[in-house]
Amino acid sequence: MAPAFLLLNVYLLLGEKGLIGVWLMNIRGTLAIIVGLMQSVTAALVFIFACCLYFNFFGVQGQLNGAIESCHFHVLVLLVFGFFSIISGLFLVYEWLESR
Amino acid sequence: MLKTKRKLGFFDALMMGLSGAIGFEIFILLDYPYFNLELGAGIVFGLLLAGLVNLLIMFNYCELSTAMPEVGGAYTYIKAAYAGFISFISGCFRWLASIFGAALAAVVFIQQISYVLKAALNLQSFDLTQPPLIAVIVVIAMAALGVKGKKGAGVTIVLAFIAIFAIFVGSGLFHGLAPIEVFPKNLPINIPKVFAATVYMFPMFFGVRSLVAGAAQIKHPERNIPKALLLSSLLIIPLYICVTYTAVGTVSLEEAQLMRQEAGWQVPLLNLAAQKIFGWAGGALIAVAGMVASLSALGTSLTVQASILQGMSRDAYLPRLLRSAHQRFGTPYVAIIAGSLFVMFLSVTGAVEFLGYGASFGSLLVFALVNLSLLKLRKKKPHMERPFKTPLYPFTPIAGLIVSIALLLFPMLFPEAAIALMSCIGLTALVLLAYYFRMIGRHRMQIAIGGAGLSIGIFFVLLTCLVEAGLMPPIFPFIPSYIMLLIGAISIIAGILNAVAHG
Repeated sequence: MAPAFLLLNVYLLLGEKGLIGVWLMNIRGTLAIIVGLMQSVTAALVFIFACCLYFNFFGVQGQLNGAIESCHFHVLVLLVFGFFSIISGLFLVYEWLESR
Repeated sequence: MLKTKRKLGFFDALMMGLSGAIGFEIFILLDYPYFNLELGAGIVFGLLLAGLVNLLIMFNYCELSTAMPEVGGAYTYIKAAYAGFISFISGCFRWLASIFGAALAAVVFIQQISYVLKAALNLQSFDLTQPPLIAVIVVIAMAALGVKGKKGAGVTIVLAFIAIFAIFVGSGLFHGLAPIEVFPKNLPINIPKVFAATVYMFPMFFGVRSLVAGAAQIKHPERNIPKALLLSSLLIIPLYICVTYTAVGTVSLEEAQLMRQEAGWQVPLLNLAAQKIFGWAGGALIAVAGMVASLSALGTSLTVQASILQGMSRDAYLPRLLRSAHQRFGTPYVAIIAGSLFVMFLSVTGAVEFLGYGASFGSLLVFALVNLSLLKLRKKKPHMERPFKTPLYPFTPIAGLIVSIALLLFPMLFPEAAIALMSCIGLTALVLLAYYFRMIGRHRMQIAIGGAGLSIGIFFVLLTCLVEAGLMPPIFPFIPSYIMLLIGAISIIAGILNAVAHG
């Protein structure tokens, strides 16, 4: 009887509708929107930086002279990273919007 | 299924085909083969080829549109033949062609307004470095009108253009129109150039297919659609050839290049010819006509691309959001805005050759698929009612297929076309990726992206640690280590959150 009672209490606390479960879900939701937004912003900045690098806006290539030997490689890496980041970030933001 | 009342007769159908074909394209698509490919008067021959290819393909459209006189045009036929993936691809190509066409229309508008301001009104101080801004403003304005559901005056524009072209050709006859050699010189060597010109000028003709898109509104489709489609495809050939012959016969290549040098910018050929015949007023008249045509085409293209997105959304290939209708105007505002963003991005590039080839490639791929669909449907549904049958079957669809593919491949010899084709292939890869993502579902996709994000995050952190320890040179020397660590940490947390996402 006692173990069953204990299990019930644990479920009530940690289950999806339990106190701790709900609290954890709320934390997850908050974390998801914060991290999602941060990642989306990072991706947007990465895209902007890649564009500046490729089209040499504001003389970026000149400022990084010597540091960049293969501009195209850096742009490619930045674009791939930005692509994954923006999808990942938007998934989290969408999940948060869905949970509201 | 969408049911529309059939209320348009033969004349309306003919006007629908002509209004689709007579547009802004002639104001710009003559320039590249004339000046860049240096075909000179040979562009008339390329134009004739483009018109004949269009006519050949329209025979196949006649059979399919009378057998299935429904909303959707090519997308509907390909869906009936293949369904699934192929119809999705065709919808995407059709959408891409509309987007490229719309961007080209915005660029034409800029060119023509530049002519009016700079040449006709003598505002030499007009800054031609601002076109991207003008393009953005024009696209936003047309998208807003599209959201409000404003309709263009199709028939009026067609009749006005025919009148303007008639005056242009008639006056050209009395103003120094010299007989020209229509067949290109050194033809065997110049064949790739002729084919490239044919592909490039092809968008001038394929607008007649807009008649097929409106097939659901036409009375007695079994009779009226083939007649109107073939007649409009036929009528457009002599009309464009006469206009081009007059333009080329009035201003020779050397003279046109000299006039451009004097003007200091790339004045379109048609404006130069009109300027020589009528003076500045003539050039301005053509420019105003070009502006009206491009605005009308831009509005139509934005609406067409929105309806394609809606159709694909209805078939669950794209998110439901794209079907959202505006509460007040009832228009697909999300689809219009989404397409407008792409059009804006493409039009600010101002790369006319790239956009011209892009519009053509998208449509040629759809045409190839339509020809394949006809062959497939004849086998798959042999007893299907076909009020019009393509003559010389199976040679006509096979010829249409071969010509479409040949026209896609020949221009690869020229860098502008190669870039456009490569871009189209790149976009196709994105389209395939989107289809794959759509089919595997969001939840599984989120877990996969989570895994990738987690790996990237760990890789970033590891890389930074190795660089800091001096075990390897920095890959991104311009990004400080603490930023790399922060980005890595964010990626790891996001990866975990995505990987353990709830279904």
